[in-house]
Amino acid sequence: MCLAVPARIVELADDRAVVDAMGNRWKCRTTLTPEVKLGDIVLIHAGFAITTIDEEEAHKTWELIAEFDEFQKEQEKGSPID
Amino acid sequence: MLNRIVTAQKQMDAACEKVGAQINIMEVCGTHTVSIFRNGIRPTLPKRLKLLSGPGCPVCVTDQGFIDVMLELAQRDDCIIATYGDMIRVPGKAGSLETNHLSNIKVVLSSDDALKLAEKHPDKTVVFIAVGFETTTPATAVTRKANAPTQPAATWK
Repeated sequence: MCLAVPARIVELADDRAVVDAMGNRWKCRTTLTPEVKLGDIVLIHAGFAITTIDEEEAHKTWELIAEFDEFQKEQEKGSPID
Repeated sequence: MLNRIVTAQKQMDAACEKVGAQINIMEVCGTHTVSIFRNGIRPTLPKRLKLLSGPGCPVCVTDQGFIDVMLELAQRDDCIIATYGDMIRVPGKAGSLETNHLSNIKVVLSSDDALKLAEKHPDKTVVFIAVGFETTTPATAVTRKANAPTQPAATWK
């Protein structure tokens, strides 16, 4: 699985966390990053937090993902080649 | 179709002209390389636009034979195949996990989800295709380790 998504830890109990990215929330594990705290931004890969990242870096990625979304919408309107 | 190719070529030429320098685009995935080759895209590109094959990952360079074995297992009534989403489009000799439209191929987002699937279907053998990177392997190991007591000792050693 080639993708990792930055997400903020909004709930944390042992190594079970609920994370939030752009309003989407899901469960993940923090077994591999025991140092994380509530409110930290982590990189989620295959259901596990694999590292913490800073606020600025996370926002850059979220903005990029939002751009993909815009691109997708444009594509659905029709290709310029047609 | 031909018209569209010519139009696309004109647009690419214009775009390259605008940039005014050599453009190198890296294919970040082996499946891009394969698609570009199969569809004969490379010869249609402007001279200034060069495609470079980038780093293949463990997923897109998975052997066709491996996919074929998974497809064979997926035909069995007593098996469920659990896989990360990226694996389903990698082609074997008889198509991919996606193109075969088999109902017992399930996409999971984590190794834990594969385990949950197994708990939900105690009468089936769930085969988790754990192909991935060095970043995916620890996750698989965590799931495996956490559930070690229920595994037969012989396979765990």
